[in-house]
Formats: sequence, structure tokens, C-alpha cells
Amino acid sequence: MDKKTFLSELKRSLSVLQEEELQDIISEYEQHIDLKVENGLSEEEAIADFGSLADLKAEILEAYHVRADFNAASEGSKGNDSKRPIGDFQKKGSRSLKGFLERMRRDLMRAGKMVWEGISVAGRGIWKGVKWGKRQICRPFMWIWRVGKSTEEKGEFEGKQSYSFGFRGKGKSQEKRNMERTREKEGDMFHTVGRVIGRGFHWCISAVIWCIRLGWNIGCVLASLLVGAFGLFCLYGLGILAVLLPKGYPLLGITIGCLGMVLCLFSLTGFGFTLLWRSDGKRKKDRERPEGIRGDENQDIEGFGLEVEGEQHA
Amino acid sequence: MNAQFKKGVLELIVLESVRQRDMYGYELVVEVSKVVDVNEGTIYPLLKRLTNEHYFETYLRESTEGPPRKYYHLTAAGVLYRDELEQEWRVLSEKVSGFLDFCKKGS
Repeated sequence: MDKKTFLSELKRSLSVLQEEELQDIISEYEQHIDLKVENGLSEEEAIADFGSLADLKAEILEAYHVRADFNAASEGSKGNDSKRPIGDFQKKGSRSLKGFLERMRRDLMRAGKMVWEGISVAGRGIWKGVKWGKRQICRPFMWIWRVGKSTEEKGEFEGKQSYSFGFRGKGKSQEKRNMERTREKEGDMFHTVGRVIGRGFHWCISAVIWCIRLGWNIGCVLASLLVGAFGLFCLYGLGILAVLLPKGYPLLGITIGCLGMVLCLFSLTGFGFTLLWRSDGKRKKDRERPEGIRGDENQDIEGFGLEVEGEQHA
Repeated sequence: MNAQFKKGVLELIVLESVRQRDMYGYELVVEVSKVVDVNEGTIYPLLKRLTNEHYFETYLRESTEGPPRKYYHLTAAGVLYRDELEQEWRVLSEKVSGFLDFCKKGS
């Protein structure tokens, strides 16, 4: 038996071992044979000194605390396998690998699809919920809007009591048009009085809303600034901790906590600013102001999401 | 020599050899073969087992010819184990020779 066959035989009979251990022990034997050959022995003689392969195998496995009968059992199947050409082995290996990859790809795709479907269903649900909630919130305003408008129309037809629509006071754009019309019939006292009262009422409401908005915005800004200041303080603390930490103080936990605080507080600050009640008509309103204050309230109610519905009714 | 005898003392011989100086596998086989006639193949599993039980540690060192060689070094645990084995061996051999002497006298 030459070195190559001896080593491959040994390798096969020790195939229960982990690859690393197997390489380790095989390389020892290989080196041993090499050194013997260097000292003038033939490979065959060197290998003959090892005694029978079966004994050697049993000896090695014993050193690894492997049961000898396990070896015998697995050797049978291994023996059969080893009779196959190597190409067959490789083919089998690559086939199983390909199968594994294919299965993995399919599983991944299925999982991805499920996740995507879940997300879209959830998203649709949330969107519906938001829409429903908005409609519920807007309903009372819608009602007032409609009532105000119908009263106004009635008032115009009957040629009397702008009072009524003035007091309901919600039909602003309609009212504006009415005002122009009423201006044509200058002499009509009722209309003039109604216009004055309606205007005053509008002004009151818009002032109240403006005050509420001012209060809300100031509150938001102050709260955000407070939180932001606290965040800055935490950032300062984090800096100190970051300097102390490499010096070996056991402050890792506190440092991580502080980092979390900083991130949390800054994001809260950002969140606070998003809560600002900002009707995008604000600038527009300023431009329109000379034409009349009425624009004000109109835009405020747009802020409640009424604008679309209102236009449909108009 | 009886294979069972050898097996028992082989461990002690290997431990003592490595205690003298660090050695690589083949060197050790040659060294041990000077003391007892042993199947060369059985030394390596023994080395492996003793390494796994942390009586030896190994390191690689380049050699002038051929690939780097794995050297074995006796650990502190290995030294204790060797002393223990030596003690056992001395007690055993004393008792056995005493017994043999006793039997010789008796007969």
C-alpha cells in the first residue's frame, strides 16, 4: 500500500470525525511517513510499521471517545458510497445544493409576498380608519355648514332676514356673494343690518379660533423647546460620559441610556413642531386681508377637512 | 512485550518525554520507541487524546525542510497528571515485584 491509498483509506474510515480533526490527524500520519521515507525507508515499509489499518482506526477513534460499533455501522454505508465514481458524488452534491437554493429562494419569495400582503392590508385598514375618523370629526361642522347655507338661500329667496344666516354665521363664501348682491339693493335696511351683524359674528369666531390656534402653537413650541433643551443637556452629558468611558469607568450602561435619551428627546422635539396648527392659507390670508376678514374663517374650516365637501355642495 | 502492558505505561513515557523538551510527533515516536517497542501508529491517537484533555498544548514551528511541524508542550495539568501516573506506576510495580518475590520465596 502506498502513502496515497493509505491516507485515503484512513481518511475514509475516520469520516465520523469533524473535518478539522480529520485533517489534523491525517497530516500527522502523512508527516510521519514522509520523515520515515527521508530516513531511508520505503513508503510500504513505513506504512507496515503502523500495523493493521483496522487496529489503527480503532485506536484513533478510541482517543476521540467514539464508539467502535458506530464506526462499524457507518463504515458499511460509507464503503458503498465510496465505490461510486467521484463525479457521481459531486453531481449529487451540486444537485442537492441546487435543490436547497431553489427551495430557499421559493421560501423567501413566499415569505416576502406574505409580508407585502400583510403590509398592504394593514395600510388599507389604517387609511380607511383615518378617513372614517375624519368624517366623524367633521360631521358636526358639515351639518352646521349645510344648515347655514340652506338658511342663507332661503333668506335670499324670501328677501328677508339676513339676521338668521348672520347668526348661524357659517356661510362665509356664500355670504360674500350675497353681500355683493345685497350691495346692489343698497336701500334695503334689513340687509344692511344683517350684513353688519354677520360681519361682527364672523369676526368674533375667527378671533376665537385665532386665539385657540395661537395658544396651541405657543404651547407646542414651548413644549418642543423645553424638550429640545433637555435633549441638549443630555447630549452634553453624553459627551462627558463618552470621554469618561474610554478611561475605564464602568459607565457603558448609562452612556447607552443617555444616547437613547438624546435620540428620543430630539425626535420628540421634531414631533412637537409637526403638531403646529398651520393652515397653509395663512400667507394667503395675509394677502387677502385687505379684501375682508371673511377669508379667515373660511380657511380655518378648510383646516378641518371641510373644503372638499363644501365645494361639492356649493 | 505484552500489548496491554505497553498501553498502560505508554502514556507515562510520552508525558515524561515531552516534559524533558517540546517535541513533534515523529521525534516523539522515535524517542518512545527507544524505551518500548511500540506500534508507531498508536502514538498519534494518544497524543491527540492527551491534547484534548489539556495535558498537552500544541504549536506550529517552521522546519528547515518540509512543512511546519506541530510541537507538543506539557501543560501544568499535564505535569500533575504525569506525577500522579508515576506514583501509581511505582506503587504498582513495587507491589507486583513484592508479590512476585514473595511467591518466589514461598515456593
